[in-house]
Amino acid sequence: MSLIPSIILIAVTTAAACAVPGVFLVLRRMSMVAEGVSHAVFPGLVIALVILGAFRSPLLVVGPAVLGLFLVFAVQAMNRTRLFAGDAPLGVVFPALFSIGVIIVSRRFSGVPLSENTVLAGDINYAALTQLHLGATAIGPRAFYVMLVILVVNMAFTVLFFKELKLTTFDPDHASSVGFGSSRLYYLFMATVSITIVGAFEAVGAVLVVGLLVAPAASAFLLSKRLESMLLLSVLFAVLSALIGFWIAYYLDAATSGTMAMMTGVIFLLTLAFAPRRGLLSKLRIRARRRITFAEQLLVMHLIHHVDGERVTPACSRDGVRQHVRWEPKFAEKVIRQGLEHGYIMEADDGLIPTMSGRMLCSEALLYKDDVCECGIVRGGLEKHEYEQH
Amino acid sequence: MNTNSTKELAIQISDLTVAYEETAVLWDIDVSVPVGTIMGIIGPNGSGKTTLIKAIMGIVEPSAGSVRVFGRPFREQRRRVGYVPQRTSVDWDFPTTVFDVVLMGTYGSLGWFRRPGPAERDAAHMALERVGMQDYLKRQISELSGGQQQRCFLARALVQEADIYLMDEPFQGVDARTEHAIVEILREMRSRGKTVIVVHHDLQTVERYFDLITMLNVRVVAQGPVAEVFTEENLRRTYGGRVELGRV
Repeated sequence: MSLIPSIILIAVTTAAACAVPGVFLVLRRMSMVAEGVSHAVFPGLVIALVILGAFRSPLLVVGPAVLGLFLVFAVQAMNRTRLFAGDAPLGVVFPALFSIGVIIVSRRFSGVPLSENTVLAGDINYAALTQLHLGATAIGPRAFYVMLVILVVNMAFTVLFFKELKLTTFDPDHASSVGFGSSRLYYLFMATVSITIVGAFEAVGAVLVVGLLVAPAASAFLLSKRLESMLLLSVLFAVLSALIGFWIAYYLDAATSGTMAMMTGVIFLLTLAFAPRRGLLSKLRIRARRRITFAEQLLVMHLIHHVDGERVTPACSRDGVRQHVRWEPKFAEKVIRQGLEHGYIMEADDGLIPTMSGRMLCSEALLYKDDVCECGIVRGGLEKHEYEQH
Repeated sequence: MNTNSTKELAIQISDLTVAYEETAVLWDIDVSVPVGTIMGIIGPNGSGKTTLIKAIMGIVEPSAGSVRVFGRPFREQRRRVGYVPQRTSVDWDFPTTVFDVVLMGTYGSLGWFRRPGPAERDAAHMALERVGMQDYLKRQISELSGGQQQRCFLARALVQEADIYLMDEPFQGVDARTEHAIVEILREMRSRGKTVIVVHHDLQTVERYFDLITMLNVRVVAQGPVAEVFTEENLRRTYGGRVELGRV
């Protein structure tokens, strides 16, 4: 198979294979553990290569997977001692393991066919050159088949244990109370993460693989209402990143792994900004709307007080409103305009008066307070008294 | 029903000690909960209330002592115990819906690999109706108020059709309507012979809500019927003189 389709196949399968376990890493807030595992598997890979030679056997996966699990285990054990705060154990263990790998590789005659650069960023072009042969014909790059198997394993694992993964990720204590001890499944899951990282190592390296694991899942998280859709979107974003990333790399003549990882970041930034409910822009919009609604309630409250009382005219004129509620003139003007538009207030001869729907708007706010009154957080008759007034 | 049924114990905790490393969180605890009662557990922060609940279900391993559920180890009685964890113990941004969360209550009886079917779905619908959340089933859980979250958790436990319910601070930060709804459900459970244990923090409502009370501060300070045990003296011993009950 020629180079370009080979690269695309490797890029797409690698990205998709990472995107699946990435969902659970993000939901379990374990992104940095993924970073740790990606470095910890390195010495395992190197040692396996030293022992097995350049001979590419599936056994190569075993060494790294064991070390990946060792990291997870060691970090948990150190956390249990409660001697360290936060993720310090992770910071201690993974560089220590990584350094062992670096030392072995940097010895000239170690015979390990890995350069120190490849370790960090991978070399997808090199991976594409190593073709698998069926008889005499090349049937595609070896890395593609490796990642395809890993992708299938990850998908099968997720489908098979979907219910259990969901339960133990959402609420581990409840899971354990109904009989799903989460630790066995957890280590099994971390084993699949380790294997995925080892597989992706050749193509994207130890640093960028973390981007592929975390960024598509994080983007999907911002858009998803259900776990199923988060998984699908995560894979979709990963594949998109791979395709666009390859295209950019091709035109810039840059490293595909770099542009792929960059695209996962770009997609994340876009979703962060534009996601309908959780995005930054929509958050801002919601806050602005709440501010106006609250101001409208305040305005109607103010009018209700004075319409039913005696000091009607001065307090209910536009100027009166502005003075009483202490808003910036511009903001007051906006609130009054919105209030008129929504029909919460009306313009009468002697100033503004509240309408029925305005009174409803306020009683909604008060009903909530009434609720709070009853449960004892706020006591005293003020809100009740006001409520009874209308 | 025979008159001795009140003597039967739903939960019996004997000489229970739980420690994290070498620091005891619960020290030599004995607690008995008769069938068909509502028991409150009160005590200051760090007094081991949550740990006690978790120790009953084996979520934390005891250093010593034993827990019996209807006379047998918890492991054999899992199905008969429903758990409502603290609302704040999970991430409510998790991408799932109210209905899905309630359906999770059926996972225990399904066991590994089996998927929920129509029977489980019906049970989830019924549980949602009991807590008044039937209109919210498709809602994502991040869009719920505190009270709605709590009712969602309660429905998840109700689905289990258990005989004992363990609830960790179910009234924490909920609105009056939810508090009222939960209390109603607790009383209804009691009338059907269920046993409920509630970790609680609001001393003002203890006398209204509970039959029995356990006052905890690493050790059991006092336990028994609320009318006998819930005294100023015991409160001072539990909270170290930092609390006033405010009763006349």
